[in-house]
Amino acid sequence: MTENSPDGTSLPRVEKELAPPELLNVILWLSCLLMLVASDKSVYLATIAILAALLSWLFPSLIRDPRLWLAAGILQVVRNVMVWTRLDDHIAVANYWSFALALSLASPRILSVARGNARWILALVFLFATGWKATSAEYVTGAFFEYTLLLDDRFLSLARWVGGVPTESLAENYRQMALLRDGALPGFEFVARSTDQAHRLAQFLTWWTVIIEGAVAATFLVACLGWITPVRNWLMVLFAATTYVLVPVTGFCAVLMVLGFAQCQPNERRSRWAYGGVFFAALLWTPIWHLLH
Amino acid sequence: MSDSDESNLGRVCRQMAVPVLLVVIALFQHHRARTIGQSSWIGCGFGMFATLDNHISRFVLPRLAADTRQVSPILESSLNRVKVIPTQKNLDRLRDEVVGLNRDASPGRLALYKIAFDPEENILSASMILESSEP
Repeated sequence: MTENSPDGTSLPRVEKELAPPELLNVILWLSCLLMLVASDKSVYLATIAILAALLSWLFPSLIRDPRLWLAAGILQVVRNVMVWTRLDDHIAVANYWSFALALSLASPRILSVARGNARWILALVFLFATGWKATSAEYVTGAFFEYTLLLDDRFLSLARWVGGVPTESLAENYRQMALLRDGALPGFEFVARSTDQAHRLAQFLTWWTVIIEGAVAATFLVACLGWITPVRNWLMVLFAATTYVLVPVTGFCAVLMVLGFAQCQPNERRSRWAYGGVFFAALLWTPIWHLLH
Repeated sequence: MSDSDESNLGRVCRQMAVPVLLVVIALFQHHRARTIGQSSWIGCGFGMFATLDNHISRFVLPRLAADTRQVSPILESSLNRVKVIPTQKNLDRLRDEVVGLNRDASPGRLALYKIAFDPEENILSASMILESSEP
């Protein structure tokens, strides 16, 4: 039960009734771009992404061929297994997504299967992230964010502007930490300079993060089980906006937004725009953040 | 098995194969983190930004002052491995590689440290978690 789409490729009729083929194309092209964004500065991964995009541009039906995504997934695995001790989780999620697309494109109900895969992946990523935090003593006491604010230079702006820690104090913290890690002074220890405001900020970040991540996990899990939860999309966008504005981990944000886009129901047009908007905003924001930092 | 049964089964497999793989790998990582101290940030278990004791806060130093203070960047891969998976075997392997690069110098022993943080007093110190065997 198939019919030809305008570009000559065949799509199952049932899919055409649910959503236009253009939506599938957008998901697939965004996924190509995602492979590039989440390439971890690896020439190998970037080459896979560019080759996939180039071939799909030359042969438009190829982007809907499950073998393209299967090959891309396998080629990513080859590299990711070799460097697994320094592999960031979002690169693995992008790898999972390539396989999910291959399986979806091999199905007669492409969009439905892709939607299910994306939703489950997002639900599980946030479930594990919440579980780790809720069971880590270092996290629930607030120690993790206290340490991070005072000693991780990616959080310098937040510690300075919101936490009220003077730049000189943060610079001194970083200097002392370098001495500690150098090991030149046996038994060396130091007191990190902080403020009461930074302490309160650490407590806030601790609980805000676990609550928002837990809420995303819960609403996506409920949606996976078939109950309607339109709020999940806005929770995810809120999570991305409040997290990646502060610390732009572009690859992770891009993975979440592409999977968020793919799991939307056909009628969730505004949510798709929000996911797409945050995806491109993250790409633009990262260089600006580095300039300001 | 009817056509519709087969297609339903196929659909479930296509929809759940990747999420199941994700769960298996994440649980395996979680198990290794709890049993051998693997960094929660690495290994596809989604434990980033949850623990202080991780591969970023761990560092390796020579135990003897006569040795070079820095482990050569050439050994970055082995160095990273022992910080992610802090086992005796990995630390000894790194020590052997250090010996291979510095044949003229006394290699001594290597020690893996972690940062300890007291949130009450904001005190930071280093504590040794593993020491290499005698060369």
